[in-house]
Amino acid sequence: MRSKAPLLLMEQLIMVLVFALAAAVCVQAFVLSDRISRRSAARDQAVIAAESMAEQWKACGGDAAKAAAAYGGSVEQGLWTKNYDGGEVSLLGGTDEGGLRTASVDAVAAGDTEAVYSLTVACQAEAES
Amino acid sequence: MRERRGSFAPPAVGGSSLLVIFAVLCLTVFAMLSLATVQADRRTADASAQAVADYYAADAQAEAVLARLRSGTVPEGVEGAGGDFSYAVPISDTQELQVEVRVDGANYTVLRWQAVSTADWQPDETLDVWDGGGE
Amino acid sequence: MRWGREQHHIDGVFVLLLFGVFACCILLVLLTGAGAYQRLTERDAASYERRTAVQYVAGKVRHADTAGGVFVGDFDGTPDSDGDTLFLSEQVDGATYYTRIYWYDGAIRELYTDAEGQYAPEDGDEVLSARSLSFSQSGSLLTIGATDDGGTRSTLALSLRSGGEAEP
Repeated sequence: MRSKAPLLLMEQLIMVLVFALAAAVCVQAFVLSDRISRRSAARDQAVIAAESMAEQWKACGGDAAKAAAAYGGSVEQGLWTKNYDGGEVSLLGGTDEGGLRTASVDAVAAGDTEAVYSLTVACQAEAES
Repeated sequence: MRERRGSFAPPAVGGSSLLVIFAVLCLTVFAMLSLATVQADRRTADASAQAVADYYAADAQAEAVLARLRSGTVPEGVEGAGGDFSYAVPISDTQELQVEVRVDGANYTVLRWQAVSTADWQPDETLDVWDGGGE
Repeated sequence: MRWGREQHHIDGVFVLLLFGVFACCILLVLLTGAGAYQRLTERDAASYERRTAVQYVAGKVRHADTAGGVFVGDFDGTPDSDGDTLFLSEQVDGATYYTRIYWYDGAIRELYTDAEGQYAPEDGDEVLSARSLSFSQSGSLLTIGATDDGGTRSTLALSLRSGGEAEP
């Protein structure tokens, strides 16, 4: 009786290759899912942090220094920066125009340079006479 | 001489093929499920972030209108006179920001800064509900 | 001759061993895949709870932002800037109605009733399960704090636009 060993070995070899190929593709899918899930979670936190900062700024009447004193963070040349659990959120006030003060809030995740989430917020300023 | 078949019988041809097919099927199902779950969650997260951005855009517009009211001009679309004004800024297809404000020169008091749903609401009238009437 | 037969056995053992190792590797990969999937769904679910609790309350507040319409207090209605219940009041046909948002027995609940009358925390509708929900109001800033079932705390600040006065 001829030994079936070479045939079995050959079959196993082919199957190992097939499995390795399929596993490689599936691992790619897992890595992609993981990346999407992480980014989504980071963005959720960024949204909350940016929203809080915008609201605190509005509650202080658009005064970044007052807001930083009351709610944490540091102010430097009109840029209010605060850390949150996942990165840093900053508010940059623009110039007043026609009694309206606008600012833009950017949330940057730790380790990134691009903002994960941005908001533009406005509040009332001193009226122009 | 009979070939002694000991306890070391090698698997039949096709055994490893079956195993690998099963394993690949399992892995593919896991991978597809992961992708589907993550995409679904990302869609709701996107909707939530978009809703926040929409609100702030409308909020900024409403503040701009208020600033113009404080400076004395009454922009188009603003109703009211003599200090009491009301207007609405759309937030999205189904929501708008309704504002009622009392302006006195450069001072102002916000009476209402309310997000209101503008979606058509279809009442469900399949159940005959008592409306409190007598007969 | 005998050696020929043993070769059969050795071949057989070798193939079986290889098959065994292969099967173990496959099992390992499958288990890793299942573990990765589980971690992914857990992270997504936690992320959903964390974001929804706080954004839901924010949405409700923005739908009720009128002068004096939003305040924090105890469940029975006494205002208290560090209370555990958020009151959103509205006037319908001359009567005042309260929407209470609070945490009770493992979930964030919502209760819409008239302003008079006694109500119990159990009467509210469950909205989302969470470990805790707290409110704090100072001036026009309302702070909402929610802890999800996983123990992570999210805090959102909201500025109540109504009732404000300018200081030009």
